[in-house]
Amino acid sequence: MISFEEADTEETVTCLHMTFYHPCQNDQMFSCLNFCRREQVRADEVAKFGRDSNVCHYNLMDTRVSRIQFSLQFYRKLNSSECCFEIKNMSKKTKLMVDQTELGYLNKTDLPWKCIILFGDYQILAETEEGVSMDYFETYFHLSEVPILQERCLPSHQPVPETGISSPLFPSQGKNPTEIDENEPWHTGEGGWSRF
Amino acid sequence: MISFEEADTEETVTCLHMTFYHPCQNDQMFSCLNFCRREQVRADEVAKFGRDSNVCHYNLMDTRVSRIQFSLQFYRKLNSSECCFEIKNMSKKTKLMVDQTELGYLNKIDLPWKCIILFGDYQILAETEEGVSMDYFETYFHLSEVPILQERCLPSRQPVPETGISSPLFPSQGKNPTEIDENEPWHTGDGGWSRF
Repeated sequence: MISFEEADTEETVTCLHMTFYHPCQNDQMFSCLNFCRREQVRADEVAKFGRDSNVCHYNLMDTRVSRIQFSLQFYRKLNSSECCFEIKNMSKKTKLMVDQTELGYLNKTDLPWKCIILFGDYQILAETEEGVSMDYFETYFHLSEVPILQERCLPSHQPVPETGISSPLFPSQGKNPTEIDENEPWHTGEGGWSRF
Repeated sequence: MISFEEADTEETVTCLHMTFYHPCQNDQMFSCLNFCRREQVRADEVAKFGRDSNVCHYNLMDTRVSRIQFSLQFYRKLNSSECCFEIKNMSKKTKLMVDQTELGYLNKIDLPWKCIILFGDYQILAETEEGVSMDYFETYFHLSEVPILQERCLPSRQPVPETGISSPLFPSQGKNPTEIDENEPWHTGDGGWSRF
């Protein structure tokens, strides 16, 4: 038995939190995802999201979703200890937005530490919780009952307002600081959505 | 029957030529690779090279090679029609050199159009032949009986001399223009190595 003091220091693991929203989510599309649970993924695996359960780790049950919609790759930045995710659009039919960046088929970009991913009617808030492990990363999914965007994407030169939900990692940033009239009630994130 | 004029224009396919060399190559290490043959790979596949044949498309039969040594990803550059390969070091034990850049475990970098990849005693000349297809890319492997590098990697600030072999795509560039005395015979690439 290794004592507490002698055991190897436990490594922190990079964890990707993803909060999903779809206007029709009472349908089946998220039924194959596990929410509110840390899932470990080998660092050398590419995590695929899409309709084809034979190929995709994360299966979206929706005929409008592509066979493989997008993939996430875990990697280490050169000359740095920093780990990072890269997202790649694997759909010929549907563009993928990562904040203001539009990805066409086979385009890819680093996932910002906190960002909004959009494709079709899907909205995903993605937040990366940094860790040091190079053997594994983790995913942790949340389901939001309110839209992640208050309005659909504006033309790309306008900032995308984030509102409504509290971020699982940064709860105080859930409110929109500029766009609501003083006398209007805040659009809050109450009402039954899942938090970890 | 579609006539020649009416048929769709045939798309050119990006082809990655890789010329392999290992000083002990009479052993088995390349026995599972197919040489001098175009092999089509789906554009959304990540091509893995390594010892583990269950996981790797391209299997190197060598106990010194990692389970997955490195992987190649095909992608399209943002705001461009240009396709590109990205190489990622998947080995914890062994560094991967791409020209002058050293990749540690999970580091990755774009593969230059023409470059030399080194790991352990393996030397690979990689050349990308551009194409437009977004459905497939191709690989085409060559085996060289002479080293791709005349000497092993010098300390990283010195240019790596290329000598000895003719590049499959650029045969006139096979000679080293600066490093050989006028009266010495050229070290040529004759002698039984495979060319396409």
